Amino acid sequence: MNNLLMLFFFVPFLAFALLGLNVLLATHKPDESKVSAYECGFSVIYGQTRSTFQIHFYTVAILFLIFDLEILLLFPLAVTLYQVSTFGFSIGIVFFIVLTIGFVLEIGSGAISLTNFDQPNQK
Amino acid sequence: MIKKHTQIKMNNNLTITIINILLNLIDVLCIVLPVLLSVAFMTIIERKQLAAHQRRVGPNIVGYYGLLQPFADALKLILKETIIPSQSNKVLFFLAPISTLIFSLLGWGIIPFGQGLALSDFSLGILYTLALSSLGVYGVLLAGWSANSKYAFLGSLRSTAAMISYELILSSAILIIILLTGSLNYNTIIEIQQSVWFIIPLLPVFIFYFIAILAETSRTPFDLQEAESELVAGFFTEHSSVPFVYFFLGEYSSIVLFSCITAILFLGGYNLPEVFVNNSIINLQSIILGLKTCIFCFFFVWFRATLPRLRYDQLIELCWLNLLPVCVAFIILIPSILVSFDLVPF
Amino acid sequence: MRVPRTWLPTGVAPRIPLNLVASSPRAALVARRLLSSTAPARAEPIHHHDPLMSDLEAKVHRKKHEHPHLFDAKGNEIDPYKGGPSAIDKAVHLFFFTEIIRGMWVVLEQFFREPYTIMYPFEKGPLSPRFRGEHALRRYPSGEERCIACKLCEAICPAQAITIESEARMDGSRRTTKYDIDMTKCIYCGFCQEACPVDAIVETQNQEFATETREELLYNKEKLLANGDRAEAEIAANLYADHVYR
Repeated sequence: MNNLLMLFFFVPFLAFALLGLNVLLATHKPDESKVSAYECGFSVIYGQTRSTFQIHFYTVAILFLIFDLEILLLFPLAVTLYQVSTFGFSIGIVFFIVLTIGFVLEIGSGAISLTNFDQPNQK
Repeated sequence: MIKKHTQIKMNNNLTITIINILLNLIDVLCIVLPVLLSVAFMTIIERKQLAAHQRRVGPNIVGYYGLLQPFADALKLILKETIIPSQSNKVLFFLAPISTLIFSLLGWGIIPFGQGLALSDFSLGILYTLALSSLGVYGVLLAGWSANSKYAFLGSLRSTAAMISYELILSSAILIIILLTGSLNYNTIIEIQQSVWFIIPLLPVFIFYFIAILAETSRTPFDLQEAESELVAGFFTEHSSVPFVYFFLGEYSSIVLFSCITAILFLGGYNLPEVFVNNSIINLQSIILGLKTCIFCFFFVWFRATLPRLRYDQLIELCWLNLLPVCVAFIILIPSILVSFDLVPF
Repeated sequence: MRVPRTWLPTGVAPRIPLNLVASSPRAALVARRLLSSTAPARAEPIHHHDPLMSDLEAKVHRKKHEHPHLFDAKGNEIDPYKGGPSAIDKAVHLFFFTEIIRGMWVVLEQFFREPYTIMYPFEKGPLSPRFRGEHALRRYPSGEERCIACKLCEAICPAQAITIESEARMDGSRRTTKYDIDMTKCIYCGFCQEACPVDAIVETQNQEFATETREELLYNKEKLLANGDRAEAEIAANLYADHVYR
């Protein structure tokens, strides 16, 4: 068993142990107003969560997926730049040109700007 | 006779295994306990330093100079009642803070505190760090979803979008360092910086990197998840006592961790230029790394004392329209320089 | 901007300086223009000094009329950005975070300075003689209580925190039998001490009278008189310090 594996076991153990300590030591007397969702000054309105939310968050997530993948695909190139030398580098540049075209397209389509979704007529 | 011999051998093997496991455990404890201590002190540093910036005194009653305040707070929070909202998903509600804590503490597994002083000298250390910082988003996401409260939900949505956006900047800034070192191993990165610290040739990249880690750890000016004036406490509005402590520990642990990684990536980790190093009396490496980490911890709080919070759309546009194009430009520029001057490391 | 069609056959590009057009033989051009182009349909009236005037020219002309301060004596347009920072300056300030760095420097300066904090329970800040704190009922030096039960304070109290009952004493003078102040209602406006004709009810400088129960904050006459006896010297000194302004 190596040290990293031990860390993988120990940290969750620590987390659950502290939680157990809390269960053992702390009082537990729930009542209706304690367990209801937090609200500022009035009683809770149900059905305000887990409903639809703005698609912008989803778009950002999708864009992240693409770009993070592309940057991670460059890590092997970065590590082996000495071995692949100029040829590999030129391939990498081609890859980057494609990426940049995509990026320009994405900015141009207004996927990033939040206001575009509220007022489609503006700009 | 043979049977008895086998018995002894098995016993021996068992003993050796147990001793090995115990030694491993001691190793892990040697990392985790100081880390938890440093996280505790990070909270008191933040409160004292913010107070000093605002010309206040800050906590000064508990212990000398208020040094025992975090322990008093931790004790209080552990003894508090855990409130589980009735409409929440109970399992996810607890899993979220636990995963946050676990992912931020696991990051310490590959940090070299000195030459050969790491839990694991992992050859893919950078990837490990990036993976863990990506996984950190899950805690935020799960907390907002499971609590089933609108404040938590909004906080987690914003925070998730911000964290994943700035992850791009973080990984591209690290990619540039990888280009200069040609290795994903932290030790190699430190060794290569013996000639010059990367902060000198890569100052602009360092600035992007620091902005990205401010956003990754959700600190001011990017602390949208907490935005206490609009979202109560953000994604952990519903969490109390120990689950809350976990979020708190996770956040401050990642602050210290990222400060440490910044020190390793840009300030040469545990190395100082040869002139200042005198290893004959005492091994200074860990202390040097600690001091460099403290510099960045100071920066974190200093930024919090100075800068106002960005609006959500400003945050996203700053990332995607300003930082990312410049980062991409640097990713092209730096290997171009390296290749054209035949400077590529091997 | 509309480009008049006739300009193309005449070979005069719209960018040619305007005075060149002005000095050309006008009559012929005007005639040709009127024949071949339709009149511009505009909502707003423009200054039809010259039918030859292009859109750009008209714009400049209109601007001259509306904003004469933007033009110098010779009639040339003044560059409004001339005195301001150049684009390069602005870009440099943006890219090197100069504003952020200046702000951070201010914050860092404060870091090394003495805190302003007063360690409250151990040291206290100065209080004005007019400070309005806990209430007290005063006595004359003879020991006779000042209050004559006129109930002006009860009448003026905006929070209706004061309750007074009175009856005549054996010697014929009118005195209170009950003087209650509900300190939980009191808003410390100081109207009662303003209204009092004999300076009987006053607010002392004492602000540390927090209690553990609510009942302890319902003050009666004994409590108020006791407050007055305890703080008489202080009250008298404060009244004397303030008497110039009354």
